Amino acid sequence: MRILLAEDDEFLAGGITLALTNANYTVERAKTGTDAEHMLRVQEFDLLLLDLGLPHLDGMEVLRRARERGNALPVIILTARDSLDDRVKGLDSGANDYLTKPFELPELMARIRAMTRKQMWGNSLEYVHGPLKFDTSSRRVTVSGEVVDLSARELAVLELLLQRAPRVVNKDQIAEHLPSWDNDVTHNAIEIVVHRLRKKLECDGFSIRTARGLGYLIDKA
Amino acid sequence: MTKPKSRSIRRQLLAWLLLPLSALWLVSTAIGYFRSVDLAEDRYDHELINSADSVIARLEVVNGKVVVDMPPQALAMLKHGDNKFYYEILTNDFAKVSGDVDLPGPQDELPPHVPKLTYGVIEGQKVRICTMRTFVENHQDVSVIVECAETVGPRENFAHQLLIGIIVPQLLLIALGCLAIWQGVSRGLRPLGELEKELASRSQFDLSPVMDVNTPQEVQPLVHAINDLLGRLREDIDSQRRFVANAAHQLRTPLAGLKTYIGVVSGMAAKLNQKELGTAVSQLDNGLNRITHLVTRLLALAKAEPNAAANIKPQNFDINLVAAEATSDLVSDAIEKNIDLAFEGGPGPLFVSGDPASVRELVMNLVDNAVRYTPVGGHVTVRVQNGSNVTLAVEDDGPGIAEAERERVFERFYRVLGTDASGSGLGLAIVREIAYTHNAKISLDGGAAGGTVVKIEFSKAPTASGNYAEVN
Repeated sequence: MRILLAEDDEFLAGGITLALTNANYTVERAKTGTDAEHMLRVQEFDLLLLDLGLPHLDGMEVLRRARERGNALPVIILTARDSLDDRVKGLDSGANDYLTKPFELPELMARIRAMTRKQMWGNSLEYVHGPLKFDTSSRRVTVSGEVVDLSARELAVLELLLQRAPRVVNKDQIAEHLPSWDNDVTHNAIEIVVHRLRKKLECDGFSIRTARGLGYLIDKA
Repeated sequence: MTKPKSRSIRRQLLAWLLLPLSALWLVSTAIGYFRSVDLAEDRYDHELINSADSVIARLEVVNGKVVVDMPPQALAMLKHGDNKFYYEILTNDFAKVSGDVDLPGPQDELPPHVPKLTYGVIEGQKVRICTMRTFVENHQDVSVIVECAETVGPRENFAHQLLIGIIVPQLLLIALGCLAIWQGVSRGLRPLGELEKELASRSQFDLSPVMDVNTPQEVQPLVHAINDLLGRLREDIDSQRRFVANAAHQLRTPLAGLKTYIGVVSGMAAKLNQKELGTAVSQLDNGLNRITHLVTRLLALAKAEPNAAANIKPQNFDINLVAAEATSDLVSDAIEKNIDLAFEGGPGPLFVSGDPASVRELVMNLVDNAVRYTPVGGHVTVRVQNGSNVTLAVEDDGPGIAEAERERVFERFYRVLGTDASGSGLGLAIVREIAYTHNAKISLDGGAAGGTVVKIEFSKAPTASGNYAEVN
């Protein structure tokens, strides 16, 4: 799960980043509207947390342009503007949700989960693939009823493979979705993560296959 | 006091037209009346004289006596219309010769052949009488007096007809004029009606200018005045909206940050390592400091506002000294950021009138702003200059402020876009309030080195006579 956080305030952005990385999300930060626009153009994100009062380019304009380009990523607006007019305008210009500052952190996290559940798992609370079950809210993985403890990187790779199954996901796509402190993730490192995942998860009825020269995939259940 | 009755253009125009026209009409009626009576008299007198001549033509001398051959047919011919005709013939010594009535005889000697016209009364009716002395045809020695009379009814009728012919068209003309004004005013005022409709049908949020393409010249100033007012209103509302948005952003963002860190610490503490927990707590402290700073600034702003400032008794003080002290207080901040902060004082003490604590606050805000927004390694200079006024200038070589934003930076909570420094957005608002209460002129320009210069011009304190400059 890769989230773009467009927020100019260092203090608030730091707090949100800390909370999100702790919940095993990959967070990228844009300090200005133009930065956010640029990042949305060249990279792929699963969610955008958007402040409206951004320097250089207003958040609303960032959103409008993204939607104009056909970018369908879910967007949650985080803003101090709390008038009915602003909220309506925000939702009407393409946002999926609107949170007014100051917000409660658990609520923000729940909204992020709800949004990604809808976007990635078609609103189902549990994704079942053979003996493997993935809880879309707590992001907990069980195999044949046994809880499997996964690191942030392992979880990120598994989520991506599950979402795209049974299509092939290449290593560059995987690298993009890994948490931000691994910015220069090498293909080698990805191989190690996949190796560990296989060790923890593989059983009768579930396997991560290698498509040589292309990437990895999870077979149909 | 009762509301004065609103005046109607239509009624006023009508009054202005009707009053003089009615007066003119009265005068014209009077003149017309006398003229008609004259005309009728001329015409009917002429015929009366002709009738007298006809009577004279019928005079004969039979057996030395004057007789008149007046059969009824002849008499009927002498009547004009439905008037009554009378005649009487008298001898020179007023003996009645013939006639159907007794007419008053001539009062004085009559020259021959000259008709004399008078009014009289016969049988209770007003008549016109023509009296003429003449001679019977072929008997130049027999002189008679012929008197003819006719009732005045027809001639009065004739005069009345004439008069009506003059005054009725005039009355019609006035009525038509009134109608034309009534219509013309309605038509002329139609653009105002359209203007009214356009304004009435607007929503209260629509402050766009009124179109003036179809308005007549006379209404254009009104439209321009309305547009001018709308423009000022728009600016006012825009600035109000900006204030609310900026204030919300400045006040709520640090609160959101605090809540987020609290959420992290309370909800995720189990997953955090010691270092992360330490960072979160120190961030919480930062956030509280920031809010404390904001509250301090808000209170400073409240103190600087004219109502509060009016209670401060102005005194004369050396601005050189106050500015130097305020600058010194911020030297350590500047050093921390590796900014060269310099003070260039004026020659000797420069006295201005006001509140030294406020001016100190003003200088500190300006310097703090300059230090905050100037990049590491920059220069900030505080100058006090003597001239016709005392000028305090704070110059930096930071990024500068775009022309379009120079007015807005004095608004509360306004922050220049793209600045990362965590200012409150209140510094320059405080500066403006303090400058305002000191009647000082404030200006913001680009500096020589590309940064910003803020200049505050104080008027000099009056010399030691004891008259303090008034502080409003």
